[in-house]
Amino acid sequence: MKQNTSASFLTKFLRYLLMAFVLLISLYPIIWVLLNSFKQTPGGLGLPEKWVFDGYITIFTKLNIGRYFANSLIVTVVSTVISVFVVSLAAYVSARIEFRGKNLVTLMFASTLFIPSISISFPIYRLLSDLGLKDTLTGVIFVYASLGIAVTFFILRSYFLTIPKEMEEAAMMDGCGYMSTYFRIIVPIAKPGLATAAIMAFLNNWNEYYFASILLKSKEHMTLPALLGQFTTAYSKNLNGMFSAIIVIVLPTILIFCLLSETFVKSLTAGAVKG
Amino acid sequence: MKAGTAEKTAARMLGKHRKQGFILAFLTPCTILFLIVYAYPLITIFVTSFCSWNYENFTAPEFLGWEHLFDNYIKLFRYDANFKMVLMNSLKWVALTLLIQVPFTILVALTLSKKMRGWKFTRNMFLIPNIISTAAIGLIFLNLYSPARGVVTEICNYIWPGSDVSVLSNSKYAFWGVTFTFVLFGGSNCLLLLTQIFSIDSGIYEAARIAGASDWQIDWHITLPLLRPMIGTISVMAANYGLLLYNEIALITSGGPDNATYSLSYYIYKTSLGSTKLNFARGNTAGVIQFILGIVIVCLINRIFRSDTSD
Repeated sequence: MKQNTSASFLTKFLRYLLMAFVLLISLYPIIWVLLNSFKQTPGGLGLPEKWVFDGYITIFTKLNIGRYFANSLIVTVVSTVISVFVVSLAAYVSARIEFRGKNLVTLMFASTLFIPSISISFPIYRLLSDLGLKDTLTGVIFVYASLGIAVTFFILRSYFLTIPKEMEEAAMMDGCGYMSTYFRIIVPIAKPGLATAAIMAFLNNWNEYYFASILLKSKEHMTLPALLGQFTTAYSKNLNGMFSAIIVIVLPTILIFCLLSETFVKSLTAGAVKG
Repeated sequence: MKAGTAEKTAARMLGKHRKQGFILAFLTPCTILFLIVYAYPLITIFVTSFCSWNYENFTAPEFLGWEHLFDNYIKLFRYDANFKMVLMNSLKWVALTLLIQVPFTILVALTLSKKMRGWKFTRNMFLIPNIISTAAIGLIFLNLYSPARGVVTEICNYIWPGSDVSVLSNSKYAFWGVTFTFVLFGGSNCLLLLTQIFSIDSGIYEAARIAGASDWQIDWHITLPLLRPMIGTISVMAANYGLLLYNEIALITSGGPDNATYSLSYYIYKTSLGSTKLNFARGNTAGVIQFILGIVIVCLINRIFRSDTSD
């Protein structure tokens, strides 16, 4: 489908100009940080005069960024798995099983989309303190697993709705119970939907800053975003370190995105396809 | 005959039991998460917004009494000078996302939908600011705005020699400094619009082109009206982002200078967690206001974009 048949030279020029502007604002900040992370004293325009790796060496040896990286990875993976698993069960029942109160249940999970996490953050903080889960990875995992309910629920519910009903009916005929129908028949079919939901949850949990910054206070428990928050005060003298740490936190996301961009693109549109 | 019916009934009852057990087993885990992380805190902030609860009585919130029921709300709106600023700033950010981010995103989506060379690459790169950590974006802009090492001051000096703009220490510029850390980054919304544009029946476009319509006319008279519901959806998301803004502020300005970038979310954090004289009741009251504002904004936008479906 070619659409650019009737465009004049000027229109085309303006379109390319806009595209260039979009590329500039999207890429320049990161490229600037990347280049400056190799400078002796980060700052200014232009390329480094001498390429140094001091920042990266410092954060890997003195700051022990591997630790924070591992924390982030544990928190993100575990909370994503829990959230997708738990929400998928509810989304399946809401999409496929007829029972009284079904609309109410669906409304209940959907309503979480309109509850801002910061508005309710203090009671959550208090509750975790009372349970002794403040400043633990378990506490953060618990919060992250719940924060994604709405997005995961919408993606999975709409995916389950697209699976033909005959699949379950045939399984039931063969004597499969509800449970085995779900785990043996539905889950394998719904893999693309589950992957989509997992990608979205992974992104949100990997990047989450607010709860990480209020809950995780000790260094051995901090995730990467929480560490970045520390740089505004504690490490502001260590500029190389700050610039390198920014690159270390954004690089995995960007790399995975470049490798799987088509899957990402599908994931990002999954929840809201029909408005 | 009778025995057969009884057997069937028994089987149905058993099946019903099994079905109920299954429903219960599948709904319980998610419901528990919902109750602990959403329902209980939401009820708590509503209830404690009618209580006195601060650093002096940390363990026991006290009900304000029926005569003083709305004291926390009255204090916020009437006596808390910060709160007025906070509310104004957050509403300004909501307005700016709607006035800048949404039109800009629509313009980019319409442009990319022409599928000129590099459109896919541009679309994907536009997503990057949306998929990387906002904490990282905050730190990046903190450095870009820094007069000592950033480029913004340098560029301003090039255009207006000797201006020496220090974006973040000037209360007039700081608000815009924070605004531009997010307001142009509509990549994922642009993607949603593009997907919607490509799902429009290409027959409509061919007919319009045969009738001699230009690209601009087609965009204006065909594509935009058909995009209307999706524009509503992205407006809700953009406005929500403006209303909830926190990370950028926490990392770049901490609300300063002179409260010029103090947002509702940052106020909630400061009031209930981040200062010396904590006032949990007031923080929770601000939380209730944020929650209600969010719902009002969603309803308003839905009304504007979905009212007349006849278009």
